[in-house]
Amino acid sequence: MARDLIVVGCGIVGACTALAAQQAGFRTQLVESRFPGAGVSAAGMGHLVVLDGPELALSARSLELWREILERNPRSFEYRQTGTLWVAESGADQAALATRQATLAAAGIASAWLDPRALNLEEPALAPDLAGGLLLPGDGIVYPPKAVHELLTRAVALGATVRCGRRVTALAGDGVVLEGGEHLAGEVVVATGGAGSELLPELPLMARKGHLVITDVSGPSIRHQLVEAGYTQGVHAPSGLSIAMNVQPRPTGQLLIGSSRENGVFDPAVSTEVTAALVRRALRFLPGLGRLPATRIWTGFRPATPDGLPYIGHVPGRGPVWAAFGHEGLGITTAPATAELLVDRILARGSVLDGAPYDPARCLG
Amino acid sequence: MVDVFDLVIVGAGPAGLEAARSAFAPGRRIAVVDDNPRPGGQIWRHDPTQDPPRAFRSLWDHLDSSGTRFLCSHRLVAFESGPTLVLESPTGTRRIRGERLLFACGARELFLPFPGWTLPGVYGAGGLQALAKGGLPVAGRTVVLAGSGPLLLASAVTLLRHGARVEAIIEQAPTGEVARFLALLPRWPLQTLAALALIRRLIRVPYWRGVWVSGARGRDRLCEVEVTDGRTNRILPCEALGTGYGLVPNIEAPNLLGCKLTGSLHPAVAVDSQGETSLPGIYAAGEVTGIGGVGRARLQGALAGVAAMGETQRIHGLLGRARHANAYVGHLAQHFRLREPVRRLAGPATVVCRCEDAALGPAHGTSPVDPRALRLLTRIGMGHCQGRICLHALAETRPEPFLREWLARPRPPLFPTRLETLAGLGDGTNPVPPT
Amino acid sequence: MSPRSVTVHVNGVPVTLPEGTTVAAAIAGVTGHFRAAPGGAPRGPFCGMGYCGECRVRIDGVIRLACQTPVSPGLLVETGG
Repeated sequence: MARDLIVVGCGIVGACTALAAQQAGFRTQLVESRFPGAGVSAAGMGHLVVLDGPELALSARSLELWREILERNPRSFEYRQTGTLWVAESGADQAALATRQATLAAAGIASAWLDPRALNLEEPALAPDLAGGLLLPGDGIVYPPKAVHELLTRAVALGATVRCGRRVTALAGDGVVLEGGEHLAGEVVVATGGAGSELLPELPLMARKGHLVITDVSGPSIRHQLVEAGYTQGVHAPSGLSIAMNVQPRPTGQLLIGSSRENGVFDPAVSTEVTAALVRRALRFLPGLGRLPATRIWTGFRPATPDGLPYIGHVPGRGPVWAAFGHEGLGITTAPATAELLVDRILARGSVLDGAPYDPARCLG
Repeated sequence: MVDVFDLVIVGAGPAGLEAARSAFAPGRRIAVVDDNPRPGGQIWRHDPTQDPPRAFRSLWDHLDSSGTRFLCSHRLVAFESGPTLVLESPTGTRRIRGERLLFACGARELFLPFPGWTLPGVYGAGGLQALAKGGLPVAGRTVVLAGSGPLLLASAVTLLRHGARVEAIIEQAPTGEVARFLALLPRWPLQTLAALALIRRLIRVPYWRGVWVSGARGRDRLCEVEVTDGRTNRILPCEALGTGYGLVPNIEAPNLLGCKLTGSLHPAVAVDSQGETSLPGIYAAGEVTGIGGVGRARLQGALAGVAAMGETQRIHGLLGRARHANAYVGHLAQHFRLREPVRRLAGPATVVCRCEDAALGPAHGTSPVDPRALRLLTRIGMGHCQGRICLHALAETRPEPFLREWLARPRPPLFPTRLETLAGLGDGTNPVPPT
Repeated sequence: MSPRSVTVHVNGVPVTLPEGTTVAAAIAGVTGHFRAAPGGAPRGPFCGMGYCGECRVRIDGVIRLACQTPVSPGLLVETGG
């Protein structure tokens, strides 16, 4: 008989988990308090990117899974294989990117170093004084709201059920309690993104606010997602504000400009100061874009764990309760591998990835 | 650098210009900001082929020599603390602040989507009027004006003056309502005179009531419209259609600043009897406080101008007249209220959001959806106009609170803004460390 | 009084019209296709008052609203973007 699995939260992680669980033979029910993709998923850039730090294994495996997912109907994800071009501002950046290239090569991921001339040919809009760039051709972009919608559609086609507008108020020993008192029985996956600690307060989580700016259709065409080499240093900065150039060409020809990270800010309002800082940083790398109109600015909150790695696995002391949240800014990329690893753990079977680094037990006191 | 004035007025239309005149006193520093290249707003928009309207000319003669600072082609895009106004012009960015601030930012047209309304050749009714004043060639062209309200007539007069052949004016309100509107109009003598002047010039133009345009057709541009009374249809060949279902207030800037709004469907800025908003020292006048036409706008502007300067002894003479003019808001809204069929012209494939080319698709005609979910999936309201068109259309056509939700959490920029302007935002109260 | 004439170039075509008129008027003499919607359909000016964005074109290389831009000698206008 099929095992019942209740997935709480229908963002990109919940949708991928439901899909993987249905494929593995579970009978999956998704419960979503608002609508699919309403939370962290809605606010992000949708950059599918391999990182070389502690997220290397998870992001690299996830991109393999994304390629399988995207074999079918890539347009419904608004997918484009833009690649990622890591841009070096200085000699130190260049050295860091050389190390990254070696690390990625060891993991079987190809990348190409572009010297300043090659960089200029590849992206003529970049400033002429840069030290070079590292191109990862396999990376890409999706539009997260549509990606969630499509993944959910696939899960439902395999038999998953979805209940929207229903809030889970508590975990019960053998399932969950919904607002209004209804009880659902089954094993539980908590995939509620930034709200993860509402149901599992023992797992520490903090919100890192981000700003994004989208422009009108740009004149000089940019082909790759452009990220400054120092981006990954800022990502895990423990406090304060960090800004890094991160510019994505949307399929429409618009540019999506990031990024900022702020800790300890809970007001979702757009800050003119932070917006100015991130735009200044983008213009340092793309000096010709000053007269391009920006259409809209928005903010979002990344759910961050103390060590920057997501919680994927069993929550000790909770019965059949599993965590799949805390992906900070990398959830769109790592959702498929998260789902694969989690389902393997629930079935207590071997997995492509070593799950230990993501085990929630690491952060329990 | 921030230029500081005693009074900053946003909008150089009738309300803003009257406010500037009434607030003027020697030595007082007053600035008027407007995103159009010349003062006059929409109703007195500059037309190089015509003499300026008398009312505008007398105001302008007064203001031109007064030392009032006019910042035309300057668009308010954001606020910094103070509030300091961040203005963008074609050549740069400028910051100004007023001890008092007065919003006279007017109104825009309400558009209701119908099949074909995105074809080149379909314009706003006031839009076509404005474009013709700006030189858009209409001489000899066959034009239809359709929608609702007196603006259709004003637009027709301008188009005739520019040599267009106005085929018909298509008013959705039934004959009885239009008759009742006219019957009570003499309570407002200025409006009556204006109406008579329009009617006199339109003697040869058919004015159909109780009908509406249900579709526009053409390959790459408009060649005909379908007109219906709900039972029978007829085709009118034409080269241009001007369509608009009345006006809605331009509340975006005062809303971003935090001024309270009033009214549910298309909110206006709430003001007290002297034009002060819910924020002390911040005033509003004219169409931004409710759609009542040029006469009311001028009175309100004059009143708010003296009130903002604290000249209470000059207020009392104006208060009664302003109250009477305010009653016209309800008169207009009541008799040109929209009928149900014009709200249901769009089909599932009809573009609702022109910027993002988005239709409702499967959400059309279904039970209510989550506004944010629909926005995210279709990108409705996310484009260049920031929902100024489609969110008001959806307020008329759908049960969900699209517009209310958007207005509840406003964010900069107020209009698409150059990246170099955004890069300069911030006034140092919350400095960002260099990266 | 008759206003002075101004010549601008729309997609390379010289257009002469009176001072005080708009770039939108200049373009309309050449093409009705000001910009392409995301789905590719042609769009022309609509609101006439500077907020709908349907008339935005490149003027001397910068995206601007044709209806809010007065003609001035030598402007280079590109449509269809």
